[in-house]
Amino acid sequence: MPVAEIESKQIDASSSEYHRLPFLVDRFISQLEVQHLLGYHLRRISVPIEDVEMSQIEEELEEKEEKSIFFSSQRGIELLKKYYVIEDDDEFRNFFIVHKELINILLDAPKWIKKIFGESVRIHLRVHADPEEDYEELFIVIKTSLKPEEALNRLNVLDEEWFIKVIDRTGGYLNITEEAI
Amino acid sequence: MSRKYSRPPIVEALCEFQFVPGQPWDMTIVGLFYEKIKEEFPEKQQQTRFEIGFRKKEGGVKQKVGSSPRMQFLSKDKTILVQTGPDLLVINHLRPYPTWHKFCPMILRNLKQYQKIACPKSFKRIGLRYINKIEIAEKSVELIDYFNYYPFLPEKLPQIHEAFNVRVEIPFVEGRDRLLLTLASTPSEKPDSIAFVLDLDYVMVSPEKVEIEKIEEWIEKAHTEIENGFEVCITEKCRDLFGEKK
Repeated sequence: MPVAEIESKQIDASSSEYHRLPFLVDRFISQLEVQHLLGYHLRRISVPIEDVEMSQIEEELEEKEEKSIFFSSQRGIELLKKYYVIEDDDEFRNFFIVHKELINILLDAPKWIKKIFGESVRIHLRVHADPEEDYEELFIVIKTSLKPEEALNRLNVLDEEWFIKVIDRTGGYLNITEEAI
Repeated sequence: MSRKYSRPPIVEALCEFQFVPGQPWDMTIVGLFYEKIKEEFPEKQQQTRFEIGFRKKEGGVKQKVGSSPRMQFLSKDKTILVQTGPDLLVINHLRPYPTWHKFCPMILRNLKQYQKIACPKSFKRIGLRYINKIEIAEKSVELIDYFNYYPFLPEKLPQIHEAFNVRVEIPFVEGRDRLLLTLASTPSEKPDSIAFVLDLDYVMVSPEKVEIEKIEEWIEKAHTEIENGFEVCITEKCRDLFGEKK
């Protein structure tokens, strides 16, 4: 029987990573598999072409698509935790679900910060929000033991070398600051 | 009577409705629906999902690539979302979860508004789901101390394991409904801690078997089964983590 195998993206995962996939993978009784990564829906479909209509595939995908906000944002948050200390998980998740577009900038930032502030620097993510004032902003907080003047100089260098180039893509929702350890 | 906790582990509760349409779907439905709920859910954003489909045709396979948008409406503090798309309505409540007595009317209120505008014929699928994240401030634990539901390893295998996921589907009401019960390890938010997700999803899987007028009855049953499932899956030691209110 002819079989169509479509793989939009292969997930290469170590064993322990694979076992987290239940959050990302929905396996169900048909021959369809849905993979959720980073809130995007990557699908591997193995379907006997003789037996299936397009509408069937669409219906099954719709039925099994991840509707949980917790799980659909989880993968992105896990990735960010490799580089950042997230100061308040709940607050950050609430921010992240509406500002997922910041993820590329957030994943890009650590290499620039480490280049300018040194490899040993710790980087935090802190949300400042006031729903009453309709205000919210994410701060990348660079924890440094440098003297205040030197830290400020390096922050300016970071602004010039990197942040100024991406600021148009932040929508005004991202800022960077430094704090003494 | 339900147990009450001062530190409940619920990270998200959601209720999902998929409908059998009563009229063809069009994008004005979303706009009209938003008009009705925008005071409570003023923020909005669009999510787009991409689909790839294949169909056999003479001499080969026809490929179709498409996208279908889904709108998300959020409360001001972004802890509550209403998601809608073609024949779909989802109400999500992130932490802090209020109580069932507040969440249930919220579900019904939004469903009623959706019904008025989209006029669905019936339910294709309904789901009520509670996702619990349980953090334990230890580097390793005996699962049996905290859970009554856990993976079983044959004696001849090493008994120490790392990441895991166990899931069962339990039929209810002669197979019309199902409780999808999942316990899995998950990354912890705290250092030197381990974390687990206990995910209880009660779903109606047989289309058109619950009448629209009977939704309140169904949803109460779903909640009861989820609550019961949660309580029987955890031990007293686990319960102590949540600070039971006596």
